[in-house]
Amino acid sequence: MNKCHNNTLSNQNHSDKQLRIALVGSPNVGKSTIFNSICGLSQHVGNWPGKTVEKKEGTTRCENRIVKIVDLPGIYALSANSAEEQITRNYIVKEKPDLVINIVDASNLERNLLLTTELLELTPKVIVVLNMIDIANTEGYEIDVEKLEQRLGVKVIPLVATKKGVMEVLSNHIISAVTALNNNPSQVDYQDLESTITLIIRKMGNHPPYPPRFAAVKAMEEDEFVIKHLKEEKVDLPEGYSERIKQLRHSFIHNLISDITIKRRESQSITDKIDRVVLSPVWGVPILLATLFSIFYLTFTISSIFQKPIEMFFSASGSFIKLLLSPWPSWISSLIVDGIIAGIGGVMTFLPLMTIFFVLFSLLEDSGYLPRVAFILDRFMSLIGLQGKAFFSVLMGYGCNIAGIMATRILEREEDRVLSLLINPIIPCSARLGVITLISSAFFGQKAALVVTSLIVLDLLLMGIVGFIFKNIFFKKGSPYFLMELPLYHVPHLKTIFLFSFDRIKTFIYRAGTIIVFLSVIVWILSSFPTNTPFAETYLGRIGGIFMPVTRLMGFNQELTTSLLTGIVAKESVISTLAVLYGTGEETLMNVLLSKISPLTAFVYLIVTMLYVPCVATIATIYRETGSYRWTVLAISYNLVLATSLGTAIYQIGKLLGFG
Amino acid sequence: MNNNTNLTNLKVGEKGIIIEIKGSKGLLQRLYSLGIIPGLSFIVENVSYGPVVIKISGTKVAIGRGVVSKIMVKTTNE
Repeated sequence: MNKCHNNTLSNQNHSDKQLRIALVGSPNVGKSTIFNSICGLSQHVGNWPGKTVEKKEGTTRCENRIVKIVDLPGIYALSANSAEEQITRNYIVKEKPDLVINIVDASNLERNLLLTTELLELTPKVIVVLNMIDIANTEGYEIDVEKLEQRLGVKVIPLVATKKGVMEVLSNHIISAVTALNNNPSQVDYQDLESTITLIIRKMGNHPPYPPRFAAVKAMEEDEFVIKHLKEEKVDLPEGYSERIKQLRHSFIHNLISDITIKRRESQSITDKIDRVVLSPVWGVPILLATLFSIFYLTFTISSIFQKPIEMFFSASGSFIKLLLSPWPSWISSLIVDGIIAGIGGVMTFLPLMTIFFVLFSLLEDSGYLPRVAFILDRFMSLIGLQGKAFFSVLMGYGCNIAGIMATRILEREEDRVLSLLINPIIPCSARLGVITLISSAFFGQKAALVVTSLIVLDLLLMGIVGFIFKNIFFKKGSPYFLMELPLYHVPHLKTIFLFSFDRIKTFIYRAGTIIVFLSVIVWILSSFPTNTPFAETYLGRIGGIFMPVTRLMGFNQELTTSLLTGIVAKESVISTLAVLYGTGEETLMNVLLSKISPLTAFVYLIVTMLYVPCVATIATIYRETGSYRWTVLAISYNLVLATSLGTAIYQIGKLLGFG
Repeated sequence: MNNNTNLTNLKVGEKGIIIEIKGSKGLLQRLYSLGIIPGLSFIVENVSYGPVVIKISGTKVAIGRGVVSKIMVKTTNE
């Protein structure tokens, strides 16, 4: 952070000092699009200290000054009601950014200005960006920007964030807004309550870390943080004004809007037309199912185009390096090729699958359809004690469980978050789906698609059952409530989609990739020593042997058992491990497998692969997100119990029926 | 004539004014931040087996069954 104190004089004299700007706005107003346009790839994503809320920072240049931009969480108000709102208001009063850019959806002023008016009570250093001005126009609204500027008392800049050159439009205004010293924004007129506000301000004396008027208004809204502070100051607490304050604020905005906008024509918006079909009781579910099916279908067909060349590239470069290293002892080339390169290759072959899935997912998200999915599925999700929004994390889990678990952050209630986080590992991620498809197509030929589909359905059922049981054991208290804005549909913004997908992939490579490559080397060491021994005698073989008494019940041999062990490192590595253990290449592995194990064993192996222990990176994420060993251990153990009992049952019954 | 009722009882296309919301302070604040404030008028856009969609303060909001039953409204159909 900058060491300069926020002293206006030094501010003026050091024009080369870097600027700090915060973006504030509600969800779905194009805040991320603006942030991405300004910062591009020069952004850093982390967490707010002590909170599971994403912190995005980036840098850019503006008239030769370095500008640090913080994208504050999307919020609707400045109460102390959620972590996101607390972070925003504390950041503004404690970090004192040079400028707050409030992004407002021009097509939805009535709700957006609620936040703006609260913000103007908190800090005068605000400029308002009127985004999506084009949509407002097509909806038939004409906004008098100059008049809005006068009424709010701050600079208002109309903008279309999806067009190029956002920063070009903003940069002039940023500099002049930062150097302007006496910004004097208008305040909401609370009419008959003004005298009470004045009274509270006078009595406050040593007021909370907020500006007096903001604190007084919040006290009347029964804001717990302000109230706690006032109690320490022994100020009489006003009661019963909360609703009235909110109503007065709203009517202030309502009057303001009718003053500055002209509704040219009544038009039925495109969004309403689409929703009439997409949310209809008849078409809603079929359209949803078709959409989800297309996502999976496209993911698999498109990624399979890339998968083969990548595999070939890595096996070719492996052989080439082996050749290069032939003068050296064989263990060195084996370590590099079979350990490191195989590890990297394993990660890379699943990247296309994951990338395409996330691109399609963000297409869905950016278009505005995803909230509708939550709406349609709320009822189904409530059967397992969750609400519609929890479905996002489920869907995301099919890409990567780490991303799925991170996606549970949007759930407001801690109980809902932990519950949906716990069931996420059951969802087969793209790596597991890849393994399952590969083995199914080898063993079940024409029926492979049917086998994979039935496995996924079985999986969803299990997720439902586990969710239901956990809900009734651990989270009996309260039930989730579903409350969600359905934003306007719009044509997805390519840059936003690209950056979103890039972000998830980066998280995967950073969180999982590094662990996977590191552990691949460990696996190689364990499977290579002691040297010149049959596989069963190597360290890895011996460790695998320990589990044989259990896995034998499921019909597994030592090779299959051991591959599951390395699968904990990364699910896709079960394939490469099997190839190493059977001493073949990955291309011929399936033929070898066909001759070594029965279709029943293969089927049980698929189920177990899908369900058993989450991968190391997922386990680490569960721990980081819950901060609890208890939940982490539960997540590991219930998956293990589920996989073992189901695997054993299916194998034993299958054998009785003569499938063995 | 008393036409106060629960939001659950309204059908698609019906208009109303929010009279009262029974719920915790947290829930009231959440509803407020989405523009759902007593005294405001709204129109019901969609009623499903699950949530209800209303348009209020220029925003479309999907509200789950559990919350809908806590919102008391007055119908204002002509």
